[in-house]
Formats: sequence, structure tokens, C-alpha cells
Amino acid sequence: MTLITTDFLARMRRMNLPVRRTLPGFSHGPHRGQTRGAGLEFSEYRRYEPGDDLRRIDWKLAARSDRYFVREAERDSQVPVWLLLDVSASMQAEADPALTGSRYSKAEFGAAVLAAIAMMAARQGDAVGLALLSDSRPMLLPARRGQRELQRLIATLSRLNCGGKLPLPTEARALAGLIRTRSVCLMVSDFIDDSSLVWLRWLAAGGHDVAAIALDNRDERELPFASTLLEGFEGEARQPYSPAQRAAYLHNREEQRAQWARWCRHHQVQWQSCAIESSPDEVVQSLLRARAPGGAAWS
Amino acid sequence: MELSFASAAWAWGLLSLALPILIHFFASRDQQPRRFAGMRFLPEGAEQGRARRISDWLLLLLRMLLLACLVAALMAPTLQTTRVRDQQWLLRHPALPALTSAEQAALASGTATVAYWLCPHAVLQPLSASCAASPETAAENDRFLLDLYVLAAREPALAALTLQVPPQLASSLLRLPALPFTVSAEVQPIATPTSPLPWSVFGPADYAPLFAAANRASAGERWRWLQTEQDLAAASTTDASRGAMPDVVIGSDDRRAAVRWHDQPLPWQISRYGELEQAFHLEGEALHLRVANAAALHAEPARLALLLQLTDSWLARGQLRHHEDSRALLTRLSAAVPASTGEHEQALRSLLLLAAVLLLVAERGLAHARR
Repeated sequence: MTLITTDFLARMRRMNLPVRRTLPGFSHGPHRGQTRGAGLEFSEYRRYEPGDDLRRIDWKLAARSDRYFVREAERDSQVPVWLLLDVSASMQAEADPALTGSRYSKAEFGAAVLAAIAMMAARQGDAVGLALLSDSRPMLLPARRGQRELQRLIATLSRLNCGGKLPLPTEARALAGLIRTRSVCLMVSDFIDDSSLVWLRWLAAGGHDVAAIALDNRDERELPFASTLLEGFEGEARQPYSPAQRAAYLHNREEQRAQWARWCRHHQVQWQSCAIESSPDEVVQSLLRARAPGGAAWS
Repeated sequence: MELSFASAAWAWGLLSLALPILIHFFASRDQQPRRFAGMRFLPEGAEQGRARRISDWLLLLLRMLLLACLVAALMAPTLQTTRVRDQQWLLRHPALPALTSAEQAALASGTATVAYWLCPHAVLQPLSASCAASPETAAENDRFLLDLYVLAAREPALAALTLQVPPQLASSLLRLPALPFTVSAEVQPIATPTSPLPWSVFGPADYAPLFAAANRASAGERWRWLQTEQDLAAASTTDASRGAMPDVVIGSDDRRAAVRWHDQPLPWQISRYGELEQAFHLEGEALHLRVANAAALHAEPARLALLLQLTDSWLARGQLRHHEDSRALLTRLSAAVPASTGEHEQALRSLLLLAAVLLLVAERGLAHARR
């Protein structure tokens, strides 16, 4: 079941994706105070919608026509937004249907979040690229602008194929060649494998504005099983489980999460841990709230 | 209430209860693993999982119950509702003289004994509606024994049965089947010493007055004279077991009969019974009696009486042998008489099967939910 519905995308389209770092390519855009800078090329008028910045209203036009219009600008230099989605086998882990009422996997949930981000970025005029990270079925859509590219990207996100493992950044040469300019990089993964941290490290070292969206499901958070046999998604050895192991498991997990979150804070990487039993709307909103000036991600 | 099992050998099937236990014991090995992403956070707990333990008690219980139900259904359980046998019956043969109303009243009021006529074809009728006490209908001893079986099946409250029978039926009382009630017999003299059925006699017409006189002497129709072939056919339709065969045939060798009187002008000098006994011989199943001509018999009534007595006893013996042959039939019948708990058995079995089906549904559902 894909979570990317037209309804959802229409809701997400209204939001803005703030950029936290001052990145070289970034000089204008929808962000406050930078709308009318040098090199701004007027593109079109758009009807004012509640929520638009009042300062962007063209008052002269308002005086002439008695209607409010907003000047839309097309920028010639943008911040590319790179969406990195882990599609390794472990992303097939599903949300608890008892809590959500429907079945979907982590990958599908992450795809919905990324589709929302892509909508926003495209509306802001940013180029959006997509990388599906897996050693068996990788996929790369270079960062481009335009409605058609956006549709392609969303169509790709709607039809995901999970499998394999998360490769190391050094194994993804094509991507390394494409992410040259500093960009906004959002990586969605479960961040259980060490290789996912290597990715964060690699992205942060490139000077990008990195956000890590760590997805987990109820099974991982609570381990609500009776005695059973557990099998990993990526070929780990089967292991019998008894509830006596729960406390140790939760402790291990908590420790790893805290450690990685600490690392992220230290390297100015936004760490957003999300339960996939919540809705993608909430996740996108909390992500954006944290990225807004003064938000939690500006530490 | 008493539970018994018809085919108890199926109890060995209870050994199959060990099957689900074994399956559950070894199930942890080939259990469907649960896919879980956070394997790396699991602590090393190799030793814990190795120990084989029963995995799912509820499922195990359901499966064992299911098997137990099936085995119990195969064992064909019967639930016997033991009723107190407290009734005492008196069965009186219709050939006996009818009870007077005073005797009836004494039987009905005094010892709470209900008196019944014993009627053919297992139809038991109360004393007041007594059926016709014709010797023909009452004589069928086999039917009488069958009546007892039917009685045993039909009357679960019957405790004691008193039979009042004529001497002719006393022999059949010696081979009473095993019955759930006690049977005591009283042999009472019959008013008219008749055989249950009159013996049919076929022969030359000049013997007819002889048998008419014999009938008169015994105050009943002991001998039935068949004058024509039509009479013979009519007699054979009333009693199909004998076929178109008269009991006694006089003078004609080509006709099958149990007793043959050979009309021979043999000058007999018989004074004692033993001499007469030597005078006849057996040929197969038939008794050959040498008879002087009718005129001579008329002249000697004592010899005629002896002949008639011999014929009568031989025919009665033949009837007895006929009974002996039907003993095998009776034992078969006793096995075939349906037990009064038959419906209980069916109901119990279908109940068990229904329970098994329900348990199967529950087991499948639970197993699916556990996946």
C-alpha cells in the first residue's frame, strides 16, 4: 500500500522546506528577506494565499487591481535537494496493522515523507534528486527541476522494490559524482546498520545540510513478542528469542540511538527519529518544525 | 448414567495424543521465524533458545482435545440411562382358559402385577382387550421367543416376568435367551389338549370318520381332514412354513409328508406299545406306520388310539426339531435386536464429531493467529 496519495501531496505542497545552513548556491528563494535580491528574475504573479509572507505581496499591483498577488521569482541558482532512501531488505519491516489499520513498510512510509519534501522543494524551485540505496537494486534520479521530473520522481517513490543491503558510500560512485554542489540531503533509513552512519558521515563531510530520518516500527521499539524465533531481513542468523532478553535489547537499542543522535548533534546533522505508526504528515511537520529557524535542529 | 464403549479397541487410538505433544516439543526447530529488523540489538542468548520446550500450551490443548474427540467418536460410546426395573408382568398364553374377573382384579390390585395376554407377532395387549385365543395363532413358539426379545427392548422397567404356558410350550422355555429380567414359568394344563395347529391329514376318504372320531375324543380340532387338493393348498397358505405338504399321508407313497400310513393288509398282532414301535421304521425324515385297513382300525379302537398317539408325538418331535433349527436364527436375532440406547449412541457420536469440527476450526484459527 502506497502512502503517496494525491490528497497527501496536495496537503504537503503548501509547506516550505527551510535550509538551515548557508550554502553557496543558495542566495534567493522563498525564504524570508531574500526574495528580492540581486539576480532575481521575475517569473510570474501568483494569487495570494493565506500563509504567504505578507512582505512578498506586490502592493503596487494590489493598489491597481484591488487583489493581492505575490511575486514569484525563478532563481537561476538553487539548492539541490537530494533525497536518499534506504531500500535495503530491512526497510520491508512493516508497521503494526493493529495501530495503523493498514499495512505498509518502512520504505513506503519513508517514500511518502520524501515525496512530500520533493513537492515542497519543487514548489520552491529547487532541483530534486533521488537515490534509492541498495546494493542489489540501486536507482538514481539526478537532481533536476521541472514538473515532469517531479512526477517521475514521485512515480519512482510510489513503486519501490526493496532488497539487498545498504551499500557503503564508496560503493555508490555514480551518486558521489552527482552530488557535487553542496545540497540539502535527506536520508531516510532505519539507521540500524553501521553503513548508514557511514553515509551520514560521508554526507556531513561533504558539507551538505544533512537530515537523518530514522524510521522504526513497534516491533523494534517494544519487542512485543512471546518466545519465538527471530530472523533478520538481511540474512542474519536466526536467533531464538525469549522475553527475558527484552530488557537487554531495549537497553542496547537505546544506547545505540543515543550515541548516534549525539554524533549527529555534534556534526550538525539533523536527527529525526520517527515511528512509522504515526502519519507521514506528522513526520513532515515535525521535521520542518525542527528545521525552522529556532527549531530543535538549530543547535 | 453409565458410559460404555462399543468398540473399545479404538482406545489404542488415544496413543495418538502423544503426537501433538511431540510436535509441540520439537516445533521450536522448524517454527516459522518472525522477521525482525533489530537483530543486532538482541543480546547473545544462544543457550536460552536451545532448550526444547512446549511452545504453545493452548494450541497443544486444542489439538489434543481434537484427537481425543475423534478417538472417542470412533469408540462408539453409549450412554445408558439405567432405569429401575420394578415392574412385574404376568404373561398368560391365550390357549389357557381365560382368567376370571376376580382373578384379574386380584392380579391388577394385589401385587401391582400387570397381566397380559401373549399374542402372536409381538403385539402385547392388555388383559381387558384380550385377543382371540385361537390355538392357531398362539402356537408359534419362535414368535413367542421373539416376543420376549421385543419385550426386553421395549420395556426397560420390566423386572420380573411370569409366564403361564400350556405344556406344549414348556419345551421352548428350556431354551430361553439371556434376558435383562427374570423369567419364571408356570406350566398350566390346557383345557383342550390340542396341538397348537391341527395336523393336516390327507388320504382316502374312508379314513375320514376315524379322524372325526379322534377329534371328538380330544374335544377340539386336533386333526384336520383334507379331502381334496384344494383343501391341501388352502391349508398350506395358512401355514407357509410347512409348505404344500400334509403332516400325515395315508396310502400314497408319492407325496411328501412327515408321517406315512401305509395301508397294508398286514395282520398285526400288537398288544403292547413296544411291539408297535418295532413295527414302524424311519425313512429320512418321514415316519412310516403300517396300518391295517380302515375297517380293521374301526374294529380296534385301542390300536387306533395308539397309532394316533404315535403320529401325534412324532409330529410334535418334528416341530421341536424345527425349533432347534431356528435356534441359530434366534441367536442372530438376539444380536440384531436394537438396543434401547441406540439413539443415545448416535447422538453422542455426532456430538463428539461436532465438537471435533469446532475444535478444528478453533485450532486452525489459533494457529493462523500465532503465525
